[in-house]
Amino acid sequence: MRGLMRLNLHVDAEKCCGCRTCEVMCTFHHKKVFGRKASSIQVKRLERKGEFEIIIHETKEDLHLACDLCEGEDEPLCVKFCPTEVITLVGT
Amino acid sequence: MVEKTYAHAGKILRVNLSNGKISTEPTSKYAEKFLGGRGINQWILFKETGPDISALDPACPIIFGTGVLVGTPAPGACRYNVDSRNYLTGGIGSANSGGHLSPELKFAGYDHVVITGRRREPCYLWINDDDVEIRNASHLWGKTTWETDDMIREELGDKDIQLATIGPAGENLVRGACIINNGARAAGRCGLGSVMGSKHLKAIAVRGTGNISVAKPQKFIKLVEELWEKIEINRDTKLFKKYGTTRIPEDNNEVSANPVRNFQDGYWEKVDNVRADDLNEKFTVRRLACFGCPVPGSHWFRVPDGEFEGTKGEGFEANTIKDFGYKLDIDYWPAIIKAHALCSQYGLDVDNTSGPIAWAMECYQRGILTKEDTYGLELEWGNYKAVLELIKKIAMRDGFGDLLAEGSKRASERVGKGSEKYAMHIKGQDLYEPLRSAKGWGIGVILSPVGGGHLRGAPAFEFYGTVTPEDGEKYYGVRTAGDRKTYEGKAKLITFMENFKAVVDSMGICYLLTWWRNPYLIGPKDLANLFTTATGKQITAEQLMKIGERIHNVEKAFNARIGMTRKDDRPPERFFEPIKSGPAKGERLEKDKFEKVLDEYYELRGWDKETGLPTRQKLEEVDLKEVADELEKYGKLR
Repeated sequence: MRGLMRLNLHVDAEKCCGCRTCEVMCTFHHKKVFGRKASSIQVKRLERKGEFEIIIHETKEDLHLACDLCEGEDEPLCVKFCPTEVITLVGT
Repeated sequence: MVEKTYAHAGKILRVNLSNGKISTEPTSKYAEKFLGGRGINQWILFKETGPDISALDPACPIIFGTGVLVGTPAPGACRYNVDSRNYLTGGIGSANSGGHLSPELKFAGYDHVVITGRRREPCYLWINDDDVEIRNASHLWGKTTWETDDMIREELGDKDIQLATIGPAGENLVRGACIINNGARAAGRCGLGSVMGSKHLKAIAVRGTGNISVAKPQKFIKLVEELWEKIEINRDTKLFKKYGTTRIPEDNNEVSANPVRNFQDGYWEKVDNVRADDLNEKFTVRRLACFGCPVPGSHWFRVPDGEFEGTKGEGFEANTIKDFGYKLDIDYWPAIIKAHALCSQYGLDVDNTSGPIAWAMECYQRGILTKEDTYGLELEWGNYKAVLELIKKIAMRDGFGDLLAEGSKRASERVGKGSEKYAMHIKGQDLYEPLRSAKGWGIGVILSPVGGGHLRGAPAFEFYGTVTPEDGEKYYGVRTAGDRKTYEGKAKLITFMENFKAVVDSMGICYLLTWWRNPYLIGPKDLANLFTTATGKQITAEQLMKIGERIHNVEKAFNARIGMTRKDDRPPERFFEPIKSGPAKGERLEKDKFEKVLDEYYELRGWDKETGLPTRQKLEEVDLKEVADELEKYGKLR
């Protein structure tokens, strides 16, 4: 929840180039370090197909923290640092 | 108490395959003098080998190094460097690759992996955070790189494992064998795949779940954000996102800068048949990227129909197009795509594979080699069926492929009959780069201590004429930096680029995102700021460049120690002859002017002009006294 409107991350995995920047930026938001295990977003590279699966953890799962849409930031860091505009913030 | 490490993962992993001993040491032991990545790799290589330890000697280390910034979202901080002794030249072996292996290794807790020894049975190294294991790979021996990746991920039950793998070419000790990660990314040059093969090391598999900390997180991320924006608005970025490096060959054709039919010409009249727009339209499925890249320029390709229907994979850079298109005269996209896929699967460097094939084709053209010599293969220019056949034969060292697996220099020495002059190599490594129409680029390639290679002192921007005299002066300290035709100032420019690249490779940043392409991308000051905020250790651009100079001197000293001199800094005679056609028709390297640049270059470097050997004065100036002492022992110091 950001402001008064309910917002969500919209993911278009078809556009993903697999750079995985979103994962480290997400961990940075949560922990101020660079890594993947705390990330609320995961990119699975399906290497033989040239395709990617993107998972967003809306609730905490194992070590992956729940997405809070980067509370405190101007916009979610995964949105900001995506080079192919895979992830967008949408109102529902 | 162990001091908190910033930016670096903190550890160097050492593995002796002969006795199975696995240990670690702190990266901090080397980082102050050599940063990380290539810098630390090369230092360990110099210190722990000698001229009597050949590339395939079990005692020769093969060293994987990440880079200070790898794992952070600093633009393009995805590279790793592999260093060992060069299997083609005998000098330094140094190759660099992107993809996703390097950050994984850092998240596992290691900045470098130093591997020595030889396993009795085929093996692979499994690095799972703190758990490191040498595992049997008998069932993987003979498999392609793609099969190996799939099988290891399957048997370890984790699809997120990142791998560096060799194919049959590395197992069969082909001189041009490379190391592949992510299916198509290659630590390509210097035959390092065979160094792995000689150790019976099929792959390195890595899974890392740790984190990298930086000293000043908020300052660091602000810099990162500014750099991403700087790259986003750069004039080259839009083009790069669309084509990656696949349009470079046709752009270079406008200055006759291609290796046409084994460099017999620089301009390719068939360019219209393999345009990058065609590649995009007919064969590109989607764009892909290495870790942390703001300009996804790689692509996933698929051949939709015809004789190579279904060929798919990630690829490829300008090299593949120039190597199999321009150099071998193949003007048919599906065949070029197939050649790339085969090289990736068999673990062959595209430059070191097309090189000996081009030599053989020219010998065939001139009647030096006939069908009897080639085991029945008809090596006319553009005969892609024969080329695809030969790629496999080289990897398997089968028939005529066994000769070409030695690289063009050694193959030509074996064949004789004047064929030596058609072997296009520098220091013994097959050449990919055109050398005539851009002087700084050409001479930069020739001077590279790895034996050819455009990813050192050769400035990419020189081809495009986009760096103005003012920018040349302001950023590179050379007013003529952007003028491809002049020799003036190029010794200084090459020296600058060499020092800069040593820093870039030690940070683990992609050269494509730097001043190599234009001065509005990442430069020394940006790297100094990133380094300072990431490590908490204050450094200036000048200090960083001095470390770059130190690293370059270590590499030079390695080559000097094994006997390389000024005579090894010269190109094949062909490049002193004029280009035959195209917009740069008639251009060539002029011998007297070339030698003058060499004089200037050695002077600027503080090396001996006559022999090209390092001097004590320079080595001590860059804090390498023990290197000077070592060279003195071998009589290689001036």
